[in-house]
Amino acid sequence: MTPRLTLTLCLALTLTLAACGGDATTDTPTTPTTTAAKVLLDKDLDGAVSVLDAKGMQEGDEVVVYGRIADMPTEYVAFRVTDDELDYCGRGTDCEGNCKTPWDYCCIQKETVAAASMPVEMRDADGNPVKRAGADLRLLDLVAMKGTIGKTESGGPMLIVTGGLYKRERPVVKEHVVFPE
Amino acid sequence: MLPLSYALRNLWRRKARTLITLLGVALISMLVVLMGGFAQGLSGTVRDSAAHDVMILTGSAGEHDMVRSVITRGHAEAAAAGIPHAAEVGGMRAVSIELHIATRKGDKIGLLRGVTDGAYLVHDRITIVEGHEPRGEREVIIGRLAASRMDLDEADLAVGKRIELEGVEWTIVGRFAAPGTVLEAEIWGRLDDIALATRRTDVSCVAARLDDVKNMGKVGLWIIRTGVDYEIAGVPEPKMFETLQKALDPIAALAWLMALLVLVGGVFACANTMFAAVLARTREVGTLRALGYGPFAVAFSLLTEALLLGLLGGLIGFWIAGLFGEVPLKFPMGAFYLDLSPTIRLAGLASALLAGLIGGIVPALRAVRMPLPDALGGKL
Repeated sequence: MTPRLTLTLCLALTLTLAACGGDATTDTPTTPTTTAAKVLLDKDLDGAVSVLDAKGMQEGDEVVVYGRIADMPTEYVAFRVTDDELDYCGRGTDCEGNCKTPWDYCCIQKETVAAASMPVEMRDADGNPVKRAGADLRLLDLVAMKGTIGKTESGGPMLIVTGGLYKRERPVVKEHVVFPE
Repeated sequence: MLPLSYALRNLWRRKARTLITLLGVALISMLVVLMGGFAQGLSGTVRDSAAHDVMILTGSAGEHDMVRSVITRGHAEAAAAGIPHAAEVGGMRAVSIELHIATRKGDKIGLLRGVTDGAYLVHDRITIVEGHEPRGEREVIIGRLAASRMDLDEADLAVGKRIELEGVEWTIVGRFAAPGTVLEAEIWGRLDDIALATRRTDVSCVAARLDDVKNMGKVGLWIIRTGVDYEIAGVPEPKMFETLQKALDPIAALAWLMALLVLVGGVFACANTMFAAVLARTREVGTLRALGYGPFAVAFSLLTEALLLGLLGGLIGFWIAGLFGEVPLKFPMGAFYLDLSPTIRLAGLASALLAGLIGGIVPALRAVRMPLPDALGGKL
């Protein structure tokens, strides 16, 4: 084949390949909605106690609790919060490389993690769960929240939040880590 | 315009060259089908394995690998009984407590799944194609692809045969299909039998089919509320398979890339053949133009030749790919059938046509751009 033919073929192929390519996607920042604004507070809450302390309180007690988000479904402002004294993988040692994600607590026995965790659910004035609606929350965020101690279906303590959350800290993690949405 | 018979006659005149090119194009078409079938089969199996209305409760670590996930039996039973919005079929809740074991047969690894009756309601793509589900002690059913995954002879996994797994002899009482899912590469037995054989007092997960996919959020709330007490976490099945899908995507992408490279090679091969054909017929092309056929008519005729080669080669490839039947392949987490569906085979045919089109266009232009005196004089 002549060099001219080769060049023409390469050009044709490049054009074909380019035509097959998809559009590049870009991250669009989430616009906070009215609901999101109600979820996240601008000011920190005073007198916050740890998750372990809150778990020792009675049903109906009003309390301000702080802890790290450990598990979270996408739709509602509801999550498991874990006592900040516990070292998550992103902060502690990585147990000889066994930790898969920064939000694991794989260096600590699961019974210990369970004992230092409690469910949190934000509810509106009618007692309905509040939707996340774009509120910028993710795993490992250290949050303070005011609420009432309630009981789960299985009899354990939970925190029912009615006044919003204040995000105290978001830990810096390695760049390649993708948080579940 | 030159008649189609002229292009056909030209192909027939140079039988050896036409035959070799045809075989080359057929090979390209087939390779594209095989590569595409591999990529599509691999990613399709994982993608289609996930049911959008199934929630999986795993151990509290949120482990997506069911073999590593651990829930105590008591917590699993309580969670199975309490999970809201579970679908009901014939008065029975579509909830299944399961134990997943990476089992070995010699140096071959397979997946042994211990299930309760609800499993057949949760994983509703399972169909018993031969025999029946395990009812008695130490009975198992075998997925259609289990033999491929474990590199075993199909005959050894026939209904009625016995197989030793986890140090226990099991009777194979049925075979099941779950088309397009990783379940097909598994071996299923009753939960209590598998737990006894593996000396496990815990389980791997609780799977629940919901009455409505819209209730996923409400079930998620329930998991948050009870997760601490039952030491469980929840993940919708599509999310769980997303991890596996992400791990396999690069392999599928590589297969598509290889298919593309094969196509590129085919384009060059076709171009080379057509270019040689044009050079050998410069006088003929010149004569046609002297007789009054326009450059477009001559170029179109040459392009038709290339397209005919592509079409015939592609059809041969399409036909041969159809003869393969079901080709099972294994991957670390399961097995799948090569996707040789008409869509993939048509992609192979299209790639052959594309090779003909792109490969024929440049030589055709070269032929008509040649000055007429040079063409008539046979100058290259």
